[in-house]
Amino acid sequence: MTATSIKDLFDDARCPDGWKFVPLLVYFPFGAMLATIRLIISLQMLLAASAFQNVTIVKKFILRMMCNILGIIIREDFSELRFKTQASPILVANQSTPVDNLVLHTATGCTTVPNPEAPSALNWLLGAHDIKISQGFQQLTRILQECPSNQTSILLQPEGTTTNGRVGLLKFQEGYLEGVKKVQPVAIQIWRPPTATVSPCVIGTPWWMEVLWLLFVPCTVFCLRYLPAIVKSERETTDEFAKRVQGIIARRLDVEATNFTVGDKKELEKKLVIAPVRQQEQRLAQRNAELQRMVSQVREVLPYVPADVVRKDLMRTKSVDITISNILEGHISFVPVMPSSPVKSTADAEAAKPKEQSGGSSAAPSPATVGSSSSLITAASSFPKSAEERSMSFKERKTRLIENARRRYIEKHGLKEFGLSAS
Amino acid sequence: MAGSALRRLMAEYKQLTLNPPEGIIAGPINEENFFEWEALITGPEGTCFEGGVFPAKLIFPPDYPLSPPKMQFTCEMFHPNIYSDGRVCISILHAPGDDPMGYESSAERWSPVQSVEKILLSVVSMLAGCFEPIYYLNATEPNDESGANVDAAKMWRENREEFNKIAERLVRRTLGLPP
Repeated sequence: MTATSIKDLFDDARCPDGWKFVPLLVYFPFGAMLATIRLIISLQMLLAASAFQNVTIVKKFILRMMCNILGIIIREDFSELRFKTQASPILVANQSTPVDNLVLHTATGCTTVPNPEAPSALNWLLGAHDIKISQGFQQLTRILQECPSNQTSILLQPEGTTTNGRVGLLKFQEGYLEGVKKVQPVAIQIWRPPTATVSPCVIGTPWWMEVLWLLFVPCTVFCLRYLPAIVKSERETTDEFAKRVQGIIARRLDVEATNFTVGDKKELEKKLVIAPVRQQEQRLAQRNAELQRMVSQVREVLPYVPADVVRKDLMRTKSVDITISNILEGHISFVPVMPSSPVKSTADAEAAKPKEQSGGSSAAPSPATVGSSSSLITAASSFPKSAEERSMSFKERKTRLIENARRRYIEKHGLKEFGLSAS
Repeated sequence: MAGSALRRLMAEYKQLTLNPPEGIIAGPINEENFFEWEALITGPEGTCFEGGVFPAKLIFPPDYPLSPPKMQFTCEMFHPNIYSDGRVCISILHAPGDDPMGYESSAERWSPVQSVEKILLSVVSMLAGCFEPIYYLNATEPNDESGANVDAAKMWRENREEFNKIAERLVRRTLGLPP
């Protein structure tokens, strides 16, 4: 028990991986078609069966046919019983699929406790309608006590939910066997052909999904093995009795009798199915926050660029630097935003100016103008990539500006007579 | 923070290299420290500072452009908005909250949409005589808070001829010409 973890009791993937997946892929179109046809026919069959609710023979026949159509093959194994009859009207079985009760109903005519996971209509069709779980198990006990007289049996699946049937049984829930003196254990084992080895029980899927998959596979063999009746001894408490029944069925199925309950399965579902979704949401939010951070980084540098423009480019580039240079080099067109700060509109226009000018024509001022003797235009024809070249160009332009200003001043004030050189 | 400041400064440097306003040049003194720039500003025509090329230093904070840079002329200056040590005191160099001179009425304050270019243009218009704030020039009794250079303010108001002479001398000095 300690070695088995709750996770082992359920499958987390429907389909096998590796090469086993290939036949399933080939089979898929057939399976899908089969499922559709089966779904339509079985609904009609179920309605028909419900009409003959009280005519046992006809109903049994229809249900048998329906099971065949659905690909449910029932094999009953009475070999361990002395007589080919049930030793007790109370059948206790493990749960492998949501349709176990249909199968046993077909095979034995037993009624069931409504499956809390299935809709009430389905439960009603299976003859489970006469036992309302809301009225508690006292009523069940009363009905069970009346059982021998009306010749029907009742199926109890005290696990409360399905398992994959390969590793272990869940703990039998308390109450199911309250007041029961003698039970007929049934071990249900299912087999699916290797072309479509889909798991009968995947954690976190609703019951109807399981039914659809049942319709999808070519067939599912339900092997019902009737075990010798178990009689509750007088010293035994209900709990101990339940434990003993669980142990016997588990041994026959060659699985472990665990202490895990339906509640544990629900917890696991939350962890495996809900948590990943939340994690994904979190990751998404994180990515959004990261993008937002990058947007504000770009806008710190270029506040006049609208946020949505920045965001769009960032989603493409994923880099603050690339986006900034994209904007500065005029690869992106946008309408500059007017900040709400107390700046005059002319100032805004100036703020927006860099973007228009930094396009291809930015190197416009020709070297000729720059070189003219009295010009005070300091523009460089290009912005070199290397720091060294930039630095040189900067120094050169500074010197030129001073020289030009000086020459201009001298010319204007006629200082030549002082014998000053303009160079 | 410094990363985005650097990117912004690089962008502005590029802008000022390729499209500077006439008579203005600015860039980092040494690219190893992008937060220290040198700028040359030519005195605007038709003013007492005409023709002079005034060198100044711009020191950028690490959180630029959120905070404004500091500007200081490295040559001798005589102007109501310039301290005797060369520090420039105009509203565009102050964030809206920061109000050492009581400029409340002034519209143009520092914000990230401003730029080095706009600072330099503001300084040009400041040299052209658009002193700010104007009111202290009319103050009957100048006090410590009435301007960066009280003497200059006073002289501007009372003895324009003398002021112009001083300015002329400064212009010549920046051009390496004898007074």
